[in-house]
Amino acid sequence: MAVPTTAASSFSQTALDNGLRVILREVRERPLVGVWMWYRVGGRNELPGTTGVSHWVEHMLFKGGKRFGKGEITKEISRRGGALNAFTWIDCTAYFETLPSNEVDLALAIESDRIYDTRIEPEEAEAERTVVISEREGSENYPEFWLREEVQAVVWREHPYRLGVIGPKSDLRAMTREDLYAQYKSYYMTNNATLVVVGDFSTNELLDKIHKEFDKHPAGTPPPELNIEEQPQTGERRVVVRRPGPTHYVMLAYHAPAASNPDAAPLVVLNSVLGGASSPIAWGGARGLGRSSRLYRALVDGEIASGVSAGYELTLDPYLFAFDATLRDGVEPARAETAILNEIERIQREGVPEDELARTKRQLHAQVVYSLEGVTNQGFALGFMNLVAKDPAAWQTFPEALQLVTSDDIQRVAKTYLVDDQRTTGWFIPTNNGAVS
Amino acid sequence: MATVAGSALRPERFPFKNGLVLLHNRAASNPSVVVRALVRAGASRETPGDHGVAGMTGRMLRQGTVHISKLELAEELDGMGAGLSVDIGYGLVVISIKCLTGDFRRALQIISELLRRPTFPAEELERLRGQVLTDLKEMDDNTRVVAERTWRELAYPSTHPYSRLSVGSAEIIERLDRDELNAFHEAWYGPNQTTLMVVGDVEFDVAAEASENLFGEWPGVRIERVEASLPASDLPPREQRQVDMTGKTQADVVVGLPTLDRSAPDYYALSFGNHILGRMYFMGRFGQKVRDEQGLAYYAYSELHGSYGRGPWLMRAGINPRNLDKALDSIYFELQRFLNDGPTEAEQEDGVRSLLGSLPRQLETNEGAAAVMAEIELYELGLDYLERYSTIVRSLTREQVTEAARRWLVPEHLVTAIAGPPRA
Repeated sequence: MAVPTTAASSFSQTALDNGLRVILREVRERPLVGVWMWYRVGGRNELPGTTGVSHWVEHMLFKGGKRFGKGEITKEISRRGGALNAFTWIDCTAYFETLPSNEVDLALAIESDRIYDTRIEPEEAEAERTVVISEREGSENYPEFWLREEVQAVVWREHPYRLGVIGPKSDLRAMTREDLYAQYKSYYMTNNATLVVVGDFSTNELLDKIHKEFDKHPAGTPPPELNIEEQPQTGERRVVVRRPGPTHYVMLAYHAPAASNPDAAPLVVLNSVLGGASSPIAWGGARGLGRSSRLYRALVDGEIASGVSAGYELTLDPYLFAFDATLRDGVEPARAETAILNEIERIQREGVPEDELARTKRQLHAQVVYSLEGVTNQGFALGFMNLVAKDPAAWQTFPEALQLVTSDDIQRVAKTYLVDDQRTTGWFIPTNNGAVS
Repeated sequence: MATVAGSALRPERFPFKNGLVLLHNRAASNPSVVVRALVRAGASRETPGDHGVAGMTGRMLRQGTVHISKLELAEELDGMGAGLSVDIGYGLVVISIKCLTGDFRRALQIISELLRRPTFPAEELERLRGQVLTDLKEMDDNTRVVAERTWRELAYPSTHPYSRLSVGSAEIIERLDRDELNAFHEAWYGPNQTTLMVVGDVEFDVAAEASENLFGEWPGVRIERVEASLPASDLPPREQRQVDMTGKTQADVVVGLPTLDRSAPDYYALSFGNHILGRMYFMGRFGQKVRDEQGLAYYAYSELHGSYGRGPWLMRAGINPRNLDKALDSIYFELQRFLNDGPTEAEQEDGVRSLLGSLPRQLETNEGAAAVMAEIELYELGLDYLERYSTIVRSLTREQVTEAARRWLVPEHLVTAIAGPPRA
């Protein structure tokens, strides 16, 4: 099944002399344009002591540069009815503006200003310190956050994925403006960025504008390649988090290969068989799918958990195949753990029947279709797949590959990756016995 | 119908003889469709002693019907790649399926089956009860939820539906039986309480014919407008309450008061004022002051729920407990400053521009269009609403916006609820 596109040609791509990659896709149905700027910097490019620096830098890129003063970026976009935001992930930092297409020049000007001319004033960095700490503290109010952070810290011994994105409070308190500026100068450059624009424009005209905005920026010294190879795990690891909380939570995390590995497609399908499908290439999609999935039936219908999910994400380096369950009142974590392991073993032993596989592929196809509604989501898919699969065409070829996965493929990857020695198991145990104050 | 440039929302409205209303909007940019039933059977229909019956009835619709079991339904929906969701609000229960275009007829058939022929199997009720009770326990541990719940208890009289969360209470959910769900369903689920929406890659004639076939024979129930059951509420006295929660790091804060009906003449002026106070630019003046200038919070914004029965105006923020007093002072100060001076000329101009400019973006997705269509239908705004919207917004003056804020955002009635770690 092909991913439906609304234009004859899916997209065009080029690179400027200074290394900026440009991916453009015309969608002329509505007078809108979605502009995305992707940088190859995130949690994986950080060291202990300054963990969370990429995310903090992202916040500072809203605080003003040469052409846009403090607050002006949001003001200029907002007053035109546009939307903007940014996110930092383990592999990347990305910024977007969605706005009426006759205002595309503004978005290009903002991104051009950001890439070299962000000031990061010391007093602004200081004011943002408490905002970033507050963002972390908001997450700390949820038991699942503590469990996930603890599990991730144990899954890897060497790879920076163990440190996550937001950073521990000690680093957030200690980091300086100079740390932020050094990270900014090391990674924000045309030759470490990709500009994606989707929407109502003429490609040639827009390219002229892009040249005008970005040609003036010289290429920088390429950031160092991450050269860390995780040593193989040689036995199950277990962690327990004891804190006040409403109920027990269980997390199982296995090492899983990167997006570039040919096993990525069967792993996405395996993940969907177990936990229901979501779009692997973009945000969005339909809610409420996956109630016939293996885990929903075993744990939710089986009255063990009130919710359960499986997750395998497309990443630059090998990351996780993980399971999360929120246990029903009075259910012991061991029971949920066993129920999840039983479902894994059943697939390893028997594979997946054809009708179930067809149902799963249909879910994946539909979720991909839903997730490509609108210019912002399409811009995300092109930029994200360009980043993790190193090929923007993967926004179409990867969903196509999912449809070719067989039961044998699924059985094989389940046997290869979801093995006991590659697992980290985490339990959240409420110290107040689930009683809520 | 002429629309705001580029909005491309051209809904058609078709009332059936039995009172069912079909709203349709064709949008072919994505080969999918959103099919949605809005049933006036939300938590506002509950009486004292059955808080939770609306939610449990809504959630049980997908747990088995005369013609399809829960498991068969799950397998069929997954086989279509269709997502089914049931959301319970104060006024409405919303049953929604998002599916690929080719599955539209079956999706509508499933919605008809869920609405008309649920069986509320006893075994499934027990299973769901356990899930919902765990969900409620998680909500009791959630600072944002606890802050809002506390705020509602203080801001509305206990007889008012908005004085509690629409999900219901654990004590009542623990004892609800299927007879009560059946009775609630029989009383409130009917064509004359339902608006059907079809938004996406489907022609009107196809939607109308399928709706007639599936819902034409559905007998009506007694009609009682939701708003008629909502008592007018007295405004609360100014108050602040903190709920201490162990194991938490951040305090979540809700500040606000009951305001007006969606149909009140001041609605647009107050909504515009809220846009400036808590949304525009970077979460409005609140966000600009508390987050951007002072660095006291990750989020700080406000929202106006114009609905039936004096919907609330709420300002929300997440704050480190050490900074609470300073942040609250800033929030009260910013509100007072707005009441004193109103919007600046530049804010007024930018407000108009941003509201009108954002329409094409809001209507870009089927779900976005469905949300606007629902508002048009529920509050009887007329199919030409978006055409008039530009005039409505442009005609607002700074004086009107200031006066509306002074009339409705009265500091003497401001209720503040805080949920978070105990303060030192």
